[in-house]
Amino acid sequence: MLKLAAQRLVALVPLLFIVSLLTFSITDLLPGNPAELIVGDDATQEQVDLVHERLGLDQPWPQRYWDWLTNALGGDLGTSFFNSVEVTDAVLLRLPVTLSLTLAAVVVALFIGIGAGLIAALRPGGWTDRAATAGATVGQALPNFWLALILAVVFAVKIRWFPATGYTPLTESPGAWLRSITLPAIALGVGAAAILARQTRSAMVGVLQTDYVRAARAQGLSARRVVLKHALKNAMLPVVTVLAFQVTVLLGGAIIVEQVFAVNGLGSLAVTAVRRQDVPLVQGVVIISVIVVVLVQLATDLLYGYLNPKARPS
Amino acid sequence: MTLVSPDSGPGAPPASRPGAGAASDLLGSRQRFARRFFAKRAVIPASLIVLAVLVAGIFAPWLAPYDPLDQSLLDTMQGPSWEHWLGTDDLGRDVLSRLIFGARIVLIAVAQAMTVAVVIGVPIGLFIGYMGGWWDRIVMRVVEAVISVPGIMVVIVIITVLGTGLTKAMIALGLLFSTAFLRLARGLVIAEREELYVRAARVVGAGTGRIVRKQILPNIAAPLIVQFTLTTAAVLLAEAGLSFLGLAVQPPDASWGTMLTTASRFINLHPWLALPPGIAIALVVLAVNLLGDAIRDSIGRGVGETATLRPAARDFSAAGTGADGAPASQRERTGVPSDAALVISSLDVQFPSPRGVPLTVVSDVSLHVRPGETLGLVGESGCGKSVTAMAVLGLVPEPGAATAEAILVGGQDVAAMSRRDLQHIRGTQAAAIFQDPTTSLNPAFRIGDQLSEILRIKRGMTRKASRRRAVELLEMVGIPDAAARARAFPHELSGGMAQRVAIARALSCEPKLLIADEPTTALDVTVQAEVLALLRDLQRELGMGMLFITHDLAVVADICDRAAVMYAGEIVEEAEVTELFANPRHPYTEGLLGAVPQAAHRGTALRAIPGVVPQPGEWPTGCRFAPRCPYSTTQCTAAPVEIDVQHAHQARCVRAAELTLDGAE
Amino acid sequence: MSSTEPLLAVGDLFVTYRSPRSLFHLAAVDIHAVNGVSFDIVQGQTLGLVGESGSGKSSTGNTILGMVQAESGSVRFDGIDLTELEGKYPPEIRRDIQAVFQDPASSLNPSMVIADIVGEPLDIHKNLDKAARLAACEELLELVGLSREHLERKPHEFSGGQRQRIAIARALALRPRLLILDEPVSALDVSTQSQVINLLEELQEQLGLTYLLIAHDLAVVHHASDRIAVMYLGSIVEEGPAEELYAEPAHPYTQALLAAVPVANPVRQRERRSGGRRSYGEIPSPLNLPSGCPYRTRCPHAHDACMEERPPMFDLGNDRRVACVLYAGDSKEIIR
Ligand SMILES: Nc1ncnc2c1ncn2[C@@H]1O[C@H](COP(=O)(O)OP(=O)(O)OP(=O)(O)O)[C@@H](O)[C@H]1O
Ligand code: SF4
Ligand code: SF4
Ligand SMILES: [Mg+2]
Repeated sequence: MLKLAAQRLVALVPLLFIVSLLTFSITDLLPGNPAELIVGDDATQEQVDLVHERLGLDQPWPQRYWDWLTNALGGDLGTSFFNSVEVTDAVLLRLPVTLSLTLAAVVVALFIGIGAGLIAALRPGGWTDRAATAGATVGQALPNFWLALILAVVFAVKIRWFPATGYTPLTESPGAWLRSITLPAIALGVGAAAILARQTRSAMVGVLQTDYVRAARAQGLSARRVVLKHALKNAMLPVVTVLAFQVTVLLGGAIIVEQVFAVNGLGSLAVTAVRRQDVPLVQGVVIISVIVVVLVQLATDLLYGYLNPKARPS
Repeated sequence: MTLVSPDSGPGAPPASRPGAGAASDLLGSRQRFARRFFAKRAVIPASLIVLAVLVAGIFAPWLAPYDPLDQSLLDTMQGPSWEHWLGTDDLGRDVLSRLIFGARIVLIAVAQAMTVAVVIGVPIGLFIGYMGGWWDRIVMRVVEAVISVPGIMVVIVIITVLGTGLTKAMIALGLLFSTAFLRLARGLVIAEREELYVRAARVVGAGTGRIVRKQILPNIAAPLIVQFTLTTAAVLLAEAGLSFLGLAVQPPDASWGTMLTTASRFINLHPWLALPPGIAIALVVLAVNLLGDAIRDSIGRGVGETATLRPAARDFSAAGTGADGAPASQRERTGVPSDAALVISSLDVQFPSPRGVPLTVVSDVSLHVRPGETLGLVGESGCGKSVTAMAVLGLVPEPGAATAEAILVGGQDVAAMSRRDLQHIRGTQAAAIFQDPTTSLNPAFRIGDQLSEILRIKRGMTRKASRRRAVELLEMVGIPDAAARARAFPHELSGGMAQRVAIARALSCEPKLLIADEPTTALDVTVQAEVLALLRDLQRELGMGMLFITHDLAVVADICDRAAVMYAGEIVEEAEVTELFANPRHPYTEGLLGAVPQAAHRGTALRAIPGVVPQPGEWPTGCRFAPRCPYSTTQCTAAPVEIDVQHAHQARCVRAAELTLDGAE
Repeated sequence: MSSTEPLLAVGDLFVTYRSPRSLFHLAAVDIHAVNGVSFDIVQGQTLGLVGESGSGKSSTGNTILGMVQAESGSVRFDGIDLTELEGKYPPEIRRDIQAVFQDPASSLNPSMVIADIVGEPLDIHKNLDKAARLAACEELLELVGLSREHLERKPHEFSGGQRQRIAIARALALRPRLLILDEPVSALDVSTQSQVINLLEELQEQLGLTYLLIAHDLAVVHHASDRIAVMYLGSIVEEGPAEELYAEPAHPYTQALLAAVPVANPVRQRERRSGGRRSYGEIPSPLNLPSGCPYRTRCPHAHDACMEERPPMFDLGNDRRVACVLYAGDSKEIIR
């Protein structure tokens, strides 16, 4: 397992490198001179040049990338163009908010998704299957931000079970945190739940037809045991793969749902950064979220290795 | 569904592509596809919704009751009324009209994004998939990098460069979603490239272009079409989300996304505003997804399905359903001992068929196995051997149903048993081993644990005792270094070793009956010889009866005491092996014996049985072997033929008494 | 050897599959699938290549077809060394060497009709007009015992044996001289198996074809071949005329193979068994070939001399060759 972790970890390095190179070069294509944006309309050419130089924009592109990369490896992602805030600090301040929202959504998705998928798979074609499949189909079609609006109206405005806006950090008050995170997490998690449910169902139906399930049944193990022990572990393989991908999707979806609930996470940071063409900040947000995604992938790879002995290095 | 994910939709992982035969059904037999497609209940309403969006989008100026931009500050935020069916928004604009014009945005958005996605994704995917090597590695690294960034961030970065606005946002989306098409096309080509028929085309001299065009494209078109539908739904959602964030359609233009932005601002004052655009988005996405699913299900798994489960070509209600004269209870069966390990009387197995008439795959099978005896069940593929065996354990595969007068395992009737009792019988009274040993062991668990689990559950052993016993069992079946091997996973074993483990597991509770379903067919001959020897030794030691299924007469000669020959769902002959091989009484058995290549020498043709084995549902009315039988007369086809049970050497042939047939050499 | 010039001469052929190097497996893992295989096939004859799974039979066949590249060695077809072409066979050679594969279910494209499957080689190599193409396809189907009604059907509408007939028709479309038959009957039922073997033999006689018949079933090979070569872990361990080799196997491995196959006669099989049971051992991993004789890990006669180097082929006379040190020197006796 350790060997697998080491292998995976090393394999992720080139990925991070390519992402950083891509983001850096694309944001570099930005039209207009950021220096002009910063100093404002009525600044003199000299002022513009000064800022231009201060930002290092007079350097050739590879040089700037190199500088940025070496600094980034030391944890320094540069300074925002606008308010001289350290990008690393700004992003790390918002990250826990978005992460806790995403994680809560993952929990929602896992619970509903795997549960519904399993129930559906046990009696393919039965009414539980049809209900779960129909639910998943509808869940997949609901735009998350709309669902967020509706949930907010019903449960926050009309019956006031949850706050309509805002976010309370976990460290401040676990109870308030849970209340502030519940609606956004459901709005965000339902779509992923629908996908996991479908995936779980089809994987489980497939696994239940395999020889080893037939053999376990022929050996006189109870249906319950065969499903929960023998089949589930194998059926979770494709589900884990999909889950890894869904975490990325949820991280992105959080950006929108945060807007609806006025939660100050990475989302609003990213949207303002883009509107103001704050290149270092955009790069920082992207890189940090990719690091998060990559760590999630690492975790799911290990989970995959646990579930599937063939994936372990010999 | 969440905004902006290039793989949204269940069609995403390339692994879930429909089988290779898909396109043949989609592009070739359009009627069959259409029949299956429109048979789905959701298809009609879903198509109507999609049609409605098309009509609304194209004819918006004529359909909309008001100009979508007309403000009327006197009647803002009204609910539904006669003038404004869906009410008005904060500026007094008619919601229905805005919704109708929004449909136009939907069409434009989908057209733009999908064009970009397909035009970029598919050709590049095909190219790198077929070429492989460095091209593939470089492009895939970039794609992996792109998809590891949350989709919305990719789009935001691209929009930052291109600027906001619908077209620009849709180009950005198209670029993002092109990765989905690229990966799918690549995966499909790679899978297809390995197909034997592609190799066959290369052998006849087809070049790369021809292979991609003629052999590969038609087979991968279907999954691509499915992906197209599902991506369309994702684009719809993404467009709404981007407009909601103010990155795509800009106010005051009406799009469903911007309408929701407005709604969100006034959600406390006038929540109604959120309903029409939200429901519109959800309905359209739902409809498109349903159509995608329906397409995928209708193209189905072309090849296998139709080949093995072909419905009856003609009406066979009288013949096929196992209607065969006198009930078996009235027939005297000779030589069934009271202490038999297994007695099956009059087993029928049916599967529901697409035609409605149930398809009989096994009819009137009766046999018995004495303790310590091996009964061979021989026959060609599809004649019902495995189904018969599974019926003994009450495990006929799902939609199938077994009916029997009695199935006695160690004297207890499993046909009349509760599920609980049946479960108890399995493993302890009767156990089974299967054809492919590597797939009949669970890949996720160590072999020792798979053995000790059975011991704990079925025999109530402690964890420690069960471990010790598991190692002993592994030693018993001749696994060297058993204590260490117990920690191995199934994929670390050779086929022969895996089959030994499967045997150890089956025998762990010392059953009275072992069902062996072609246990050596997947093995090399030297391994087969060892496994057969092992089974023979274990049987002598444990005194169990064995039902040994095979299609290989030489294996029957080696391991069986008696044998029953099956053809087209019924037993046609049964006897002691020496007798059966020396004096076959059924022409089919004679044919099988003659077809063994050992029997003939170079230069002389092998004795072949003409024709092919009929599929269930195509069985002839009279003797089922008649169309292939060299001795067939009119008498044979008149009525179903009964097996002659008076004789110890049973045969199901009207001419059995008069014919003299050739035995084995 | 034979008086006639061989149509196909394979000389000291090596085929190695390399697994790609990765960051963690810096030493590439090589699978030595074929290790110095040599044999000849005379025009109009059949050479049967037998061996257990993984012995390198199909790799040998695929190398002759140019689907797999040889590491070293030669494949001379009609005097031309095919290994030098690196898989890019000119049309006249493509036409001469055709193949039939094991699995008729996957060797026919499910989306094409039979007329296009059988007609494809004609489309590529010959410029026939519509009527001539149709006539050619009909003739081909007739040759393999199918009829013109089948032309517009798709593969899934046929049984396994019929599909294999279609594959044979495709292979014959260009009137090849050499057919590589890679396990042509092992996916078929017993009764259909003999139909297809008979068909192949008839066609050979009728069209003067030369066959390389790859199979794991010794009985099939024995029946259908003039000569047999037995492969084990990438090497040919014994070669000779079918009848003699089958009657008196010389190499310990061939002896084991023959002893392991049961015969379809209970009385004879009981007699054979009464000689006592024997153990055959496990086939070693091709990743990790034994030194010296490849069979030494399973051979009951293995001794020190077998460990050192690979035994060369010893000539037993009667056109028979065997790679086993027991036959070193002038001992021409067959050891039982
Ligand atoms: N799950 C199923 N659904 C529908 N039909 C089935 C199913 N399983 C088996 N059948 C049908 O039942 C018939 C008998 O199948 P069975 O597997 O018993 O044959 P077999 O004699 O074991 O063949 P083989 O030698 O190929 O294993 C076949 O025609 C098959 O198509
Ligand atoms: S009943 Fe007639 S057709 Fe059937 S096997 Fe006997 S002789 Fe042949
Ligand atoms: S060379 Fe030695 S090990 Fe190899 S087959 Fe001959 S006797 Fe056996
Ligand atoms: Mg079977």
